[in-house]
Amino acid sequence: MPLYVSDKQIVLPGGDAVATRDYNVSGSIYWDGDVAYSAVVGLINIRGGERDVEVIPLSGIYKPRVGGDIVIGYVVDIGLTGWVIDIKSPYSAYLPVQEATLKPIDLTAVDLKNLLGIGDIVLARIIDFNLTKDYPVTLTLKETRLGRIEGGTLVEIDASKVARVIGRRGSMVSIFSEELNCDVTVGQNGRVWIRCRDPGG
Amino acid sequence: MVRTVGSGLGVGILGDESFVARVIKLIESESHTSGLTDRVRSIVTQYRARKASSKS
Repeated sequence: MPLYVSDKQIVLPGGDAVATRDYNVSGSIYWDGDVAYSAVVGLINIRGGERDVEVIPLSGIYKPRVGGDIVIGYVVDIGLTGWVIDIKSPYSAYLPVQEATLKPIDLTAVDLKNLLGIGDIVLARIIDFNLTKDYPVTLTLKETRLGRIEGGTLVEIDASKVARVIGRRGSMVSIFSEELNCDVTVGQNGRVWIRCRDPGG
Repeated sequence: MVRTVGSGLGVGILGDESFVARVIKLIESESHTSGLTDRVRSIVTQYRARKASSKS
């Protein structure tokens, strides 16, 4: 039952074996027989009494996850029944019109670009990720804090660095809200929206 | 990349939002993450002190 790595070890793709199937190996890995190898340049994170081993990539693209991921995206196209959203991921995202408003909309009477136009920025939640669809990611705006973003500043960072910007239990973002009255909303796709009550300082 | 929502790239960024954007880029690029929260808090405190002294 070998574990080939130690906690916080840097692993490289192609060569570094991580563990066998006796461990719960997750993250950016691939299996060759019964041995898991790292698929990226990453950091080993061991938890759960040394049974759970995760390979965390040091840099990389955003991989959508269903059920909870909040993302910030740009409207890049308007279809017949919704909007195509760029979420800084290899997988394209779609916002169906029934997920954009709480009220039912008559598509024959409403021009969608009056609701959201190309270039608009939205804060959305991922509700479905299905690779068999034309647009694998489905988004929703049907929550109170979600919707079109107006005002503020947007920063793009590497998606793998999102956790450190949030901090442990939100400690990093709370510094900005406590000290400067700035709300910092971190999208899991590496886009950060900053809104200060006194933006000019 | 930093942009102000509703305008072109990097146009019109001033004051607190600009500062927070810079600190976030700093957090992203930092290679030593131990004690990062304390260092960020210290930077923000210094910024507030400097801002207060410039206003007085």
